[in-house]
Amino acid sequence: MGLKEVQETLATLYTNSSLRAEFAANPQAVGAKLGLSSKDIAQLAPLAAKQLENFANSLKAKRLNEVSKQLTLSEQALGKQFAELFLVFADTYLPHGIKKHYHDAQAFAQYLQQVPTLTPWLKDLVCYEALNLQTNENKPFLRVKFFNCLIQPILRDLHNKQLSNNYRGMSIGVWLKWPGQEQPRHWLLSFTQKKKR
Amino acid sequence: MDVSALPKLGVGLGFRDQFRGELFLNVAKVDFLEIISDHYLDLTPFKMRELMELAASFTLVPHGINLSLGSAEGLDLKYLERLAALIDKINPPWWSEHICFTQAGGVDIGHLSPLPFTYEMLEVLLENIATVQRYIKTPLILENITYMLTIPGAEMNEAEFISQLVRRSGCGLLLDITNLYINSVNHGYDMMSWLAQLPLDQVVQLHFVGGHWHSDMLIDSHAQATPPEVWELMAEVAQHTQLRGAILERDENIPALPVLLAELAQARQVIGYTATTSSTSLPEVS
Repeated sequence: MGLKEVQETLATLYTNSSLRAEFAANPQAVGAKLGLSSKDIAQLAPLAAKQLENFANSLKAKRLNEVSKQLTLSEQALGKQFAELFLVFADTYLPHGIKKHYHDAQAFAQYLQQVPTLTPWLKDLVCYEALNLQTNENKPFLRVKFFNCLIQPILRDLHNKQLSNNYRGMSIGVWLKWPGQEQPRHWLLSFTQKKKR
Repeated sequence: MDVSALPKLGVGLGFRDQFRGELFLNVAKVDFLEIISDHYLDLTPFKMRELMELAASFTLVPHGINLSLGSAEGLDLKYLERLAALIDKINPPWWSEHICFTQAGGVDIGHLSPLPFTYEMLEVLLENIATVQRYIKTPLILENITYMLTIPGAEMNEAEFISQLVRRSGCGLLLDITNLYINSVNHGYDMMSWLAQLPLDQVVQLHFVGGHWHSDMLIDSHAQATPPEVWELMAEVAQHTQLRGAILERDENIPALPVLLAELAQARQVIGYTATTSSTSLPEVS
C-alpha cells in the first residue's frame, strides 16, 4: 500500500458520486472497502468533503463545457435540458485518452438516444450531429443514414433561433471521406410527405 | 537548467481554433505560440496542415496536459512516444507539462489533479521526469497548477516542493502567475512570500490570464482578462528572473483577437520586452 493506492482512491473519489457520498459519511469504511491500509486511510480521512465535492463538480463542469463545444446544435435545441441530462449521464460514463472529449460527446449522444422523454426529431438531430463529428476522425468514412424528420428545416430554424415542433418528413444524410482527405463530403436531403387525397 | 542559454521568445498566445484566421493577419504582433500537445498527437490531414502552417509563421512551444508526471503507477509510455515524436517534429526550444497527476488505476480524471507535497511524491516525480528525459531531449519546464482541494499529509509547502523538484530534476519552471494568484486567494496565503521561496533563476516562461468567481472561490477558468493583481505579480517576477517568454492562456469567452493583442502589448511593457523576436529565429520543422 502507498501512494499508488492513494492516487487510485483519489481518482475514484473525484469521479464517482456515490462513493464520494459514502466517503463523506464514513471515510474509514470506504478506505477499507477499497483495500487501503490503515496508514493510507488516516492520510485520506481528513480530506475536506466540501473541497472534494467542489473539485468533482468542476470536473463535471469541464466535461460539460467540452461536450457543449462539440454538440453545439444539440445543446441549442435541448436548451437547459442539455446540461441537466449531461450531469446525470456523467455519472455513468468516464472518457479517457487524448480524444476524451470526442468520446464523451459520442457517448452522450448515444445516451440521449435512450432518453424516453426526448422527442424523436431531437434524437435525430443529436444523431445527425454525432455523425458529423465522426467524420472529423482520422479515418476513411462512408455512412448513409435515414432520419424520420426534416433535418434541414431544423438546422435552418436553429440558425434563426426559431424552433417549432413540426418537422414531420424524412431526411437522408450521406457522409464520405477518403483516406487522407481533409474535409469529408456530405449530402443531406429532406422530403416532406405529401398528404394523400 | 541554464536558462540564459534558451532563446528569448517574447510574449505570445496559447493557440486556439477560434482566432486561427485572424492570427495569420497579425503574425508580427505575436512573438510565439504555445500549442496543446494532445491536439496534435493523432494528426488528421487537417491538423497536420494546420501544424505546418503555424510552424511556418511562429515558433511553437508544445504544452502537455495529460502526461500525468505525478502518477505513482508510472507513465503511459505509448503516450510518451507519441509526444516525443511530436516534439521531434516541431523542434521547439523547450516544452512544458504540469506538476500534477491526471490518471490512476485506469481512471482518467480529466483534469490536472493536485499532488501530496511529500518526499515520496517528489521521488515519483523525479523518476517519471527521468524517464521522460530519456525519450525527449528538448528542455522540459514544469508548471504549477491551481488546486481546489488540499491533499492531506503534506511534509512541506507547495513552494518548497516545487523548488526541490526543479533543482533536482534539472527542469525549468513555467510559472503560472494566475494560478499562483488564485491559490493565494483561495487558500489564504501571501503570494509574494510564496514567490520568494522559489528558485526564480529557473523560471523560463510565464502563463497569465484571468479567472472568475464562483460562490466564494476564484476559478482558474482562463475566461477573463488578466486582473491587476496578476499584472503586479508579473512586474515583480520580471525583475527577479531571466524570462524567456510569456503566454496569454485564454481558453473561454475568447474576445476578438485585437483585445488579446492589447494584453500581449501590455505584458511586453510590464516585462520590458521591446521587440518581437520569433520571425528571426524559427526552428526547422521536419
